[in-house]
Amino acid sequence: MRQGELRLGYFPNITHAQALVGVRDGTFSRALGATRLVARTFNAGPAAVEALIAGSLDATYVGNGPALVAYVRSKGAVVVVAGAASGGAGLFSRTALAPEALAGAKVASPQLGNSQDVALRHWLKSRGIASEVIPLSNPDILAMMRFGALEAAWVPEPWGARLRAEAGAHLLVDERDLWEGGRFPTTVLLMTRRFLTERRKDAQALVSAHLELTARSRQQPEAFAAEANRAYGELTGHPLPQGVLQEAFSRMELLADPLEPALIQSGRHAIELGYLPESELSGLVDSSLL
Amino acid sequence: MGLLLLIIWEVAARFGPWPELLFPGPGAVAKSLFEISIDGRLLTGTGRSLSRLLKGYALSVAVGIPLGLVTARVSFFAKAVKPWILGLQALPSICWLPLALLWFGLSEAAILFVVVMGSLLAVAIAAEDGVKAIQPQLLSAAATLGIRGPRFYLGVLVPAAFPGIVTGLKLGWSFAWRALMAGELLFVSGGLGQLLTFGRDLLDVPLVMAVMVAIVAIGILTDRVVFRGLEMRVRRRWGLAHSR
Repeated sequence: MRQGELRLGYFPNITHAQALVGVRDGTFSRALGATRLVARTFNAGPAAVEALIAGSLDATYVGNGPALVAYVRSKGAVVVVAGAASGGAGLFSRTALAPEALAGAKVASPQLGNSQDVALRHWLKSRGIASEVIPLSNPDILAMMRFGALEAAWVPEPWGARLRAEAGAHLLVDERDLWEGGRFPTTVLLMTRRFLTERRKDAQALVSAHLELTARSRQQPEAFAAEANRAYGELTGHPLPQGVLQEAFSRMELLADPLEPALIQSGRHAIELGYLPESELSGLVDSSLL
Repeated sequence: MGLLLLIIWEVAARFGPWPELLFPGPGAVAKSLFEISIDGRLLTGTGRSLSRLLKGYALSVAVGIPLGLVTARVSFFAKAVKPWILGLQALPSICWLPLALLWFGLSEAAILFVVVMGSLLAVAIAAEDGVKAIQPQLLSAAATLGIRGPRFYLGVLVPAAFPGIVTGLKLGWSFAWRALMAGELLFVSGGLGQLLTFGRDLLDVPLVMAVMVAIVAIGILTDRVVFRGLEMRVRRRWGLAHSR
């Protein structure tokens, strides 16, 4: 923790839309006033939560999987202060038309222990389907599916839309169909407990900016998606084509509700899969800033 | 001395400025090592990694030694192939991984390719150096005696170049091991490298360190058991060490 600074992590990912827009257009900086925003991008959850726990970040947008891992392993040193996105993930396959056709096939998830990996393995297990699960980065998944070396993958947006557009894949399971009310956390805002207690004013400013951005995204979804895409394009060098962008946003919802019951349930899934030791998850969410 | 280091490590982990989560002590690492030994993950991972290593290494040796000998003896190879060997040797073999994945897909062949590219060239270069270090009189004597063809290669050249070849075998092994671990960290199901990634992705630092300990142990064990023995034999054969 550094006085006068708030160090925020996020990914150049469409599921981190509030961060993409808020960092680029200065919403966070305005809300923080005299406190300087230091934003850092990451490509994957483990690196971001490592930075958070090691004290190089104060807060980060991150998937619910790494957030859970960080909460359990740090024995509660980090806490989810808000939700950011729901939905926007699913199983896309090349040829399989029914789940059973995936038996014995190679199926990828973006990273071991991340939200999609837990969802995929839990889904396979509950259906009794034995597939070979391979953790592979999203760009590699796209290449391998194009190439025919991979049958299916459980990915977040915009990769699902890209798999459909560029690898001829189709949506086999929309993860929203598996959750009550069609909502489950995809991205959350995670903060160190120390920052939350010792720098409450800055923490509140960050969450207020997050709420403002979320509200904007709901009032003007198309303009917000376009803005997020502009930031995404600047960070990655390749903005998404209009069709892919629209499709990605159509399966996703930006919100500030941490969806605590679903978050805890997916934590239980990770524990059942042996990813985490048996732990109490009730202190995971602190919604006092919302 | 070793015990003292372990104690310092444990104390540093407990009372140091770092969170214990990120810098666990030897106790936590030993516990993790014990757990993965009991549940079979260590054995399965080691088995998969070693089988990949042996396949890749065998291929490197089978191709690398002849390649080195030929490069040293045949001027066409010395001119046309050697610059390539030296050039590609400068490329860390993990750089081949993206291409290997595109060429071979998500298969064992991709990782074997990376392992072979890591060790083959080192084996070939050392074999070539071994030939270059042979005393010219020995080769002239063989020529005078009319020894040619396979008899010359197998009976004179290989034994005479053997110290160089052994260096190559050792170097090739450690390069293959490194290439394999790098490859398994980035891609591939199963294997020790993936067990390490598993620990990292789940913030299980004791597991990461336990796998590192296992990797070091395997490295030391092969060096002591396989290569130390081989080297001793070579030394005795060449009269560099007295038989015990």
